[in-house]
Amino acid sequence: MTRRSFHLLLMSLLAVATAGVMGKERFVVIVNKSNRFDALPRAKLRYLFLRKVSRWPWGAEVYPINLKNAGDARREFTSGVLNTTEQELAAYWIDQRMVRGVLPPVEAASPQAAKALVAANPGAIAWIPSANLDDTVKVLRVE
Amino acid sequence: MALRPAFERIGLSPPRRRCHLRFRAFERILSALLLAFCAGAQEPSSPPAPSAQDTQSVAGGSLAQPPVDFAGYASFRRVAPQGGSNAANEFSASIFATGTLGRFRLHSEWNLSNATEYDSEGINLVHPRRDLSVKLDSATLTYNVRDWLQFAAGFEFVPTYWRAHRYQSVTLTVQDPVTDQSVFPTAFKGGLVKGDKYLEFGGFSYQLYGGVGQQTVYRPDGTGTFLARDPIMGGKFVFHAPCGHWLDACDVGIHLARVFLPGGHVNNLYGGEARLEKGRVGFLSEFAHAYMGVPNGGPAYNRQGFYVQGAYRLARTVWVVARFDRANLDSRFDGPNDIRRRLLGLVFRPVPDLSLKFEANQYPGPTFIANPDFGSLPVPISVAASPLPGHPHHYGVSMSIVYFWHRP
Repeated sequence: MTRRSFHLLLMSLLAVATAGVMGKERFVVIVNKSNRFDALPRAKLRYLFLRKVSRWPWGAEVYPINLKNAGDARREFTSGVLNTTEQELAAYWIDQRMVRGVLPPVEAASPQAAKALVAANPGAIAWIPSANLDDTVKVLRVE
Repeated sequence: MALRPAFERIGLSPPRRRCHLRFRAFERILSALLLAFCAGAQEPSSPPAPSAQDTQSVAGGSLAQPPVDFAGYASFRRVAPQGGSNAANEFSASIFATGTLGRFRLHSEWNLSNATEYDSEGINLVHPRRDLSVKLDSATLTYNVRDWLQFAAGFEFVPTYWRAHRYQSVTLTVQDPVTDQSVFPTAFKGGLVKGDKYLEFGGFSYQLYGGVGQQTVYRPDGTGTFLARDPIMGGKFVFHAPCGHWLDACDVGIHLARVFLPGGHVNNLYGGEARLEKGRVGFLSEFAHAYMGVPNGGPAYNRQGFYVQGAYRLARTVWVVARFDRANLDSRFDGPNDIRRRLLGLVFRPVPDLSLKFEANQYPGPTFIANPDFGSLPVPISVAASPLPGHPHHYGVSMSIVYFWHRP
């Protein structure tokens, strides 16, 4: 193999690795360690965070937790999982408060706060930036 | 890790000697970059220590919500017909109080308005005056057994789509459709069983209700209106169709109800609704039909109507909306009872809590008749007669400002 072809090979590997990281979501969905799910499809996550589903199958109440001031990760979560925009999401919660009396999720001030809430509440579910993950909570694979 | 051994293991020729050193350096840089990316993708960084603010916000680790949540909105609406002599202004404010205790939830709405309302909403808390009404619009206690099985009792709106979502902070138009409150009764006191079931793709919602309905109707002698209260039972089923990537929402519903009148007569009602959303585009439509039995022995007649509303989000905070309404509120007579209205509006929502709306309306009719069947505001929002020969369509404008708030 020539030097040029070797460079091409390495550059291709680098491109693949870069694409893998760029395509990877900046957030992870976390639940309490007692949660029986290992993975959930996006559609069901959407129902949980929009409070259309209020209980887990085993009866525990669902407590969705949103993250305040999370910038790009929040935008990515809102569009990628909730399939909406921040503006439309705010309008959705206005509608839900008036029509159903359902309040929006609690907002944690930081990923550490979100993790602490999830670790302390069996029915809690939250999302945090991938970089803030640790072993106090369980990661829910997004399908 | 050097790439060179792996290189040799798979049988590739090593690079030429004369560039060996430079190539090794390049190899190392690329290897380091690859390792860095792989490490970044797979390994979480060690968590930083929580800040003082975090410690405060998670004190106790409780997610309990406040025992009572208060929210509300204040709105001003102005509707001006052609010529402006019949302009109507309405100031309205609602407070929503919601309390949750375990599986129980109490949700209520209290409304204050200065408009002379002919609508059938709510229970007046003080004797209504021409320029003031204070009402309990709804109050429902719900017990949640499962999401798909909930029992509720209290004073509730008949669940047509517009009734359920009629709030000025939510609607894209200033005016309600003509069919709103005209065909189905407005509200009822009683009980309901309801629920939602969402699957991975799609789902359904239902409501079965019964009780005493209320609706504003004409007096038989033509001397005005009164609030008729008659037993009602009905049901509504909404199918949330699985629409994959084609649509963001696709809800189709059917609604049946029966009102039991004195003397064994009945009003049979049915209706349907459709709501579609895709990106910037939204579509909403409802129709309603009622076969009206007449208690005093007169001939039965039909009431029916529909509206078709389309909306497009021009920018992040601006929508344009268009709607066509048509209703015939008494099939025994033509003319004034056949109402058609076209509406084109613009909604500016600089922040989610604040809405500014402007509308232009085209409505048929040279005169305005105060008709309570035509909607919740007085002249001329929903008050119009069909055009008589030789009379052109008339035009009007409407605007509203709505502010939503909540505590805590």
